[in-house]
Amino acid sequence: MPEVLNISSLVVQARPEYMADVTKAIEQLPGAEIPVSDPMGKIVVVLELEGDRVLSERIDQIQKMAGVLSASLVYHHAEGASDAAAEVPLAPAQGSLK
Amino acid sequence: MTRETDISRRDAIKIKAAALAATAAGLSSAGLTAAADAANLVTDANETELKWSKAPCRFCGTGCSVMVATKDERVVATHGDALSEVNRGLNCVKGYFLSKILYGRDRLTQPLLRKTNGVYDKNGEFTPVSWDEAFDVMAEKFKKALKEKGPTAIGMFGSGQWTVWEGYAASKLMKAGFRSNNIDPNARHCMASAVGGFMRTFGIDEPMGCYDDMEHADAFVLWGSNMAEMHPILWTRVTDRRLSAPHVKVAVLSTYEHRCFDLADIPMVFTPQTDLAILNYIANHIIQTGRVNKDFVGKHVNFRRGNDDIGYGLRPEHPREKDAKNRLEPNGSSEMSFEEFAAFVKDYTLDKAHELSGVPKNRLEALAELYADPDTKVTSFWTMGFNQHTRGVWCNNLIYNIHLLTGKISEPGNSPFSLTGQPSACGTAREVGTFSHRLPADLLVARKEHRDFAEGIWKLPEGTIPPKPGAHAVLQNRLLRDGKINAYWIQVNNNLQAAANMNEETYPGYRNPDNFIVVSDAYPTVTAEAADLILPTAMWVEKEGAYGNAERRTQFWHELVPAPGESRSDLWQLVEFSKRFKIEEVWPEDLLAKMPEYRGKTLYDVLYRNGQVDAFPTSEITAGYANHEAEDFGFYIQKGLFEEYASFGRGHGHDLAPFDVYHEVRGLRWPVVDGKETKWRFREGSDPYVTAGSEVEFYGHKDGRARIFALPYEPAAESPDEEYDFWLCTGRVLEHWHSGSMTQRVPELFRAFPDAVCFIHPEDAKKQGLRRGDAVRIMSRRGEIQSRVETRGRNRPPRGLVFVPWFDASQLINKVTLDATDPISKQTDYKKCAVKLVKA
Repeated sequence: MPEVLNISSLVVQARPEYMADVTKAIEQLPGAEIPVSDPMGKIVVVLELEGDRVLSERIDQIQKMAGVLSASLVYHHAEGASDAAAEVPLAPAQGSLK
Repeated sequence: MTRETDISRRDAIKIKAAALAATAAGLSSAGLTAAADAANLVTDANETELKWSKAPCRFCGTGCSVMVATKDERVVATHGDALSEVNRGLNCVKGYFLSKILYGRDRLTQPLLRKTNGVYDKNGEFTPVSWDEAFDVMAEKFKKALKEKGPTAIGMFGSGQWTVWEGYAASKLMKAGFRSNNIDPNARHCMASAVGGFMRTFGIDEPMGCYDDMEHADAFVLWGSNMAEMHPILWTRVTDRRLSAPHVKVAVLSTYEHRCFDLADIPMVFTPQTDLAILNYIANHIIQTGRVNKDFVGKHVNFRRGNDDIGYGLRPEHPREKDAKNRLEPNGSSEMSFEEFAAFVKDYTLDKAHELSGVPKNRLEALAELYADPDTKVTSFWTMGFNQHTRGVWCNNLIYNIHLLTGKISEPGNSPFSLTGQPSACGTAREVGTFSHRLPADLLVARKEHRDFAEGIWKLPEGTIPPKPGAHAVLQNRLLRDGKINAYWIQVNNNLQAAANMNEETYPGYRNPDNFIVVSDAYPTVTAEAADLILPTAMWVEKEGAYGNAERRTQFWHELVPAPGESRSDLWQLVEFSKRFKIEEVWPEDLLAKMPEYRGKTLYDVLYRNGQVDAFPTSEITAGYANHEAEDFGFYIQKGLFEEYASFGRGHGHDLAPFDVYHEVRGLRWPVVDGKETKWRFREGSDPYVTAGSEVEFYGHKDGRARIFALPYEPAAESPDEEYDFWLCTGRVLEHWHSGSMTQRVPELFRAFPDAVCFIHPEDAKKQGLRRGDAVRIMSRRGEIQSRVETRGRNRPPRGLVFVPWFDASQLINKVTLDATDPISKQTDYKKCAVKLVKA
């Protein structure tokens, strides 16, 4: 079995005055680490998660936090997760055309 | 395994992820460095398994560069390209999951033809066929249409997602080969009004400024652009500027509140269509407060009175069209003086703008002051809110009016900036000239000297290119329905899902028994399923490509992985199909007589083996990269097409660098003259085309001057009334790009926003007896869909307006929309029609 790796990083821009709250909230998310940040509101977040489903939830959670202006993603590594294709949803139901 | 350190490969990747993010954020990664060094051994071992190459993102017109890692002929990792000036290492959520768009389970891998009992039947079932059989049937149908009715009976609908050479090859095949101008890109739905605005005001297409403006501006004004969701990386740059320079102001105008409002200093929600009045009010305010830059206006500007009452681009028998005074001359205008212009806008007072728009007066004044204050550098951004508008060209003209009156243009930070939706709406649809009225480098089919020039480069006899503009997007749909276009080819877009009033105007044309519809796509879209023949298509890094972004930046990529099954690129399909036509089958005798040496040749010989397109051997392909098209045709076809195309613009204000340069750099902004790109056009010292000593020169017009247009506020094509009492605005969401044919196949994006919803004000919902999550029917005079009520989401409409995104194929909102267009640009207004809501 190949090693399953699902690691990603993002840059979060928070309003500076919300910095402490946002940092605390992110650190409480399972699988999230903050290796570096600055007082102007930039926060580097590394996420290591079990599945992609959780990843999209985490990003969504972060984007919705009060004081977060943007969350930009930088690195995405999904290897060994050969189920990547299998996980894809079926084509969306096609609405009737007539 | 590696005893040197106890750091695992997992840790090494985490450190790399952190370091890349820190670099992208402009943060010191000092604390990470020691660990990163320790991890290097492991990382290096890791890297040897991965091959990293650059590619522009597949999605929007921002033009971010991403680094793509392949392993065993598969894309396994991506990260924002730190060397890119556009995104500086960052990615948005779509770009982040790019590696997955290639691997949807339902990728199309072989041609599918509708058949019954083994033969083609329009009502048959999709059946796998060989490429040979597919092209045999397709050629037969195209030949039949050409023979019976001539070149106007065939058509093609392409895209701002075509690579540069695909759009060029398609345009050449249609206009020079088949001699039909019935080719249009889906950029018609997206950028046509922007093009119209540029051509009218400046006489040359595309923004004068560039993304560098964002770090110089003192104020940003968003006119109908939800950058936070649609151009997140550019929004990050705006946010950075706003937070790092406290004096910077952000004004946001929209018909509903969206995520950009979180950063807005001056938030404004206005009644649909009244942006026209607000724009004229600002011009009036500038004049009334004595802040016209008279020196600039005197030297660089002319004034024109544009025709008013120009109709709504509906079918001619529609009552709204019959009554329109200037329906046949929408683009007309006449000279006027500054004084006459001042008198024209004088009517647009603060009171009037407030009454029409509903925006509080102090906010309108604060907005006007951003433009009027000579010490405030203003960058204006707009996208579909302006362009998808029955007065879209006017909106573009009116925003330029404001920047021209104050001289706030073509210099760092002062920038009217039309953003782009598709990755190559500029590079392909516009610059290559894939519109039904255009040729490469802003040339027009209607002008004899332009056709002569194109025929000269293409080594074709005089009179090959037809002089009459072909059918634009909406007209193509109408002609299909009316049985006047009978053979039709769609590439790289989901036209049926995208077409307004699709049930009445578009779908019937696809299923008209007289018509043969071909769709080239990677996935079974709604459009593909309504076709007669589906051609499986290689996408993005499965082929060598080039895109041009919104700031005139041309970017290249190599083929990185093979395409699945039998899928082939659009380029291969176009060129291979051309082999099926003898020149005698498509050209009349009198034309052929002018160049008898072409007798007996195929379109492939005449168009692509002309000594130019086939001038470069396959040995010039960069070592280490595959190129399936070049291998098949036996020459470096992408390079040949690009160089022939570039000869249109070199020396004419559209100069592109030599082909090979683009594989090395992170893109260059044209005109590229003597190896140097141009950041601000029309400005001496930055733009080599400006005459020395003139400081500013709008050389797109012969007199070197830009045009200010007097244009009034006129109502929308359809507004709410007693029965249909809500405005419907359609658009996009962050997670899905356009019709969702790629992003809905990425599990993360699909789950993040699986189904479209109807965003509505909570009070309106309550009044209709609707609660959040309820099923609701959204009905217009044309059709209806069912959606679910959302009162709390990211979009917050005002009372009387609902917003529904269009990515969801199970909720085809374009059954409901109206196919009204801007009469000048022919671009559809997807932002305004009247609907009623009924609890389902």
